[in-house]
Amino acid sequence: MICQICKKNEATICMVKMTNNKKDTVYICPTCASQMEDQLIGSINQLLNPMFETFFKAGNTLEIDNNQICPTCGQTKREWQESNTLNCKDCAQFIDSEVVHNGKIPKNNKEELYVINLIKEKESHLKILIAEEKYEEAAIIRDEIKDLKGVSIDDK
Amino acid sequence: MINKLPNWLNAKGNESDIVISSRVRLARNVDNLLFPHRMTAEDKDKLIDSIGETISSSSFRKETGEMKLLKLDELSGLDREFLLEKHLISLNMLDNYHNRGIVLGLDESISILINEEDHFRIQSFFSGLNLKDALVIADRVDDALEKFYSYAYHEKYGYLTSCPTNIGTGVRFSVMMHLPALSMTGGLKDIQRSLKSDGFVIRGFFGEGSEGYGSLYQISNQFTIGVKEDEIMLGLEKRINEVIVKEKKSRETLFKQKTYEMQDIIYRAYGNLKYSVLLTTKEGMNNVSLIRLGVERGLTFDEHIDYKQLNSLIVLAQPAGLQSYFGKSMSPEERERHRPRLFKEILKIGG
Repeated sequence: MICQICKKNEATICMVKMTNNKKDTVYICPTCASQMEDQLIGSINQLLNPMFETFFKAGNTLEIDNNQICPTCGQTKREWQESNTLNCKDCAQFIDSEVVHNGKIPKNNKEELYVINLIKEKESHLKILIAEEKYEEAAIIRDEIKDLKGVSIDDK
Repeated sequence: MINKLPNWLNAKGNESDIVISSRVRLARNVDNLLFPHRMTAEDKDKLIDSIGETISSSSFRKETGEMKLLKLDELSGLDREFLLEKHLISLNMLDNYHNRGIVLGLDESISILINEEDHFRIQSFFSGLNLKDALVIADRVDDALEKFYSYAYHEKYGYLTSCPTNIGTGVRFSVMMHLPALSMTGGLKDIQRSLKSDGFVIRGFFGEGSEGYGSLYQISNQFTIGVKEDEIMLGLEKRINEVIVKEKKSRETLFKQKTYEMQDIIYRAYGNLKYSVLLTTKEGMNNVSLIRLGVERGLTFDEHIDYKQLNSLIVLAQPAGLQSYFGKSMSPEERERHRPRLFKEILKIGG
C-alpha cells in the first residue's frame, strides 16, 4: 500500500484514530510519520516506547530460552515443560529435582570417569613438566596418557 | 517357546497362597542414542540387531544363560497378545509393536524389552513373594548389558529414563496378590490410602479399572529416586507382609461369621464352572478366585485342586491364552463356548 500522505513511499505504519466512537484508519510511510509533528504522533510514541521496551525485554528472555535448548536433541525448555519427557540423556539439564539419586551406579561408567579424570590430571601435569623443561619426565607422562586413551577407546 | 506358561505361575514361592508373583523391572537407556520415542525406525532396528549380537556373544551368555530375541514385527498378532497376557510386554508395546523386540530367557522369568518407553527394560519374575531373587537376577542381566552399552546416567539424577517418574534407580518392584476377603469386606480402601501415603500404589492386576477382576491386585513402588534399590524393596516387602496378615485375618473373620454363606458361594462357583456352557474371562476368573479362597480355607472338591492349576488359568483364561491352549484362532463367541472346557480340563472338573 502507498502512503496516504506523500503517496510515494510504501506505507508500513497503520494509524487508527478513535473520535466519538468513529474509527479513522490512515496508512503512512515512516518518512511521513517522522515528519508529522502532530500531538497524535507524540501519543503514538508514548504508546510505542513501552511496547518496544517490552519487545526487547522479551527478546532477552528469548535468548535465555535459546540457551536452554538441549544441545543433543534440540528440545527447548518450553517443550520440556509440556512434554515432561526426556528425549535424550542431555535433557537431564531440565530436571529440577531436590532429590538426588542414591543407588546403583553403572560400573563401566565409573571406570570410564576415572580414566577420563586421570587423563586430565596427567595432561595438566604434562604441561607443568614441559613448562619446567623436564622433557624426560614429560615423555614418560605423555606415553602414559597415550596408553590411558587407548584403554578408554578400547572399552567403548 | 512362546506357547509355554511362565514359571512365575508355578506357585512354588513364599506365601504362594496369597502372593502369585513378584516382579522387578529396571529401565535403562543407551547414552549416545536418542530415546525410543525420538528414534527413527532404522535406528530402532539397529539397536534390536545389536542386542541380537550381544545376547549371542559368549561373554553375555556366561552371565545370563541362553536368551532368545523375538522381533515383534515378525510375530503373529495372537503371539503378541499372548506375550501381553503373560505380562511380558506392555499394552503400549502391543499397540505399537513396530521396530520393537523382546529378549526372553529360557523359562521366560527374565526378559528385556527393546525400544519400549526406554531402550531397555529388564524384567525378572519370580513365583510367590521373592523380590530379592528377582532383583538379583535383573541386576545380573543389567551388569551384563552394561559391558556392551554405555548407559545414560547422570551423576545427580542416576539412570535417565524417558519419563522423569522413573529416573534414579529406574526400578519398579511389583507384587501380584490375591485379596478376595479384603475386597469383599471393603478393607482395600484403607490399605490403598495407607500405601499411597508411603509411596506405594495398588491397582487391579488386569490394568486400570480392573479392580475386583478375580480379586487380583498389583502393589508397586511409585518413587524411584533418592532411595536405594534394596531399601525400596524392603519397604515394599514390609507392606506386602502387612497386607498378607490383614487378608488372612479377614478370611478368618469371614469364615467364622458367615461359614455357610462362604461355603455356599465357593461351591456355587465350582458348580458354575462345572455346568456353564458359555463363560467369559471375567466370570471364569471370579469363580477361580472363590475356589482359590476355598482351597486356602481347606474346603475339598471332587478332585484335588492346587494353586498351580489355579494360577495357570490367570493366563490361559484370557483370549490369546485360550486360543494358544486349544491351538487355533477363535472368534469371541467361540472363545466363550470353549472356555468352560478349558476350566474343566485344567481343574479336572467332571473327571
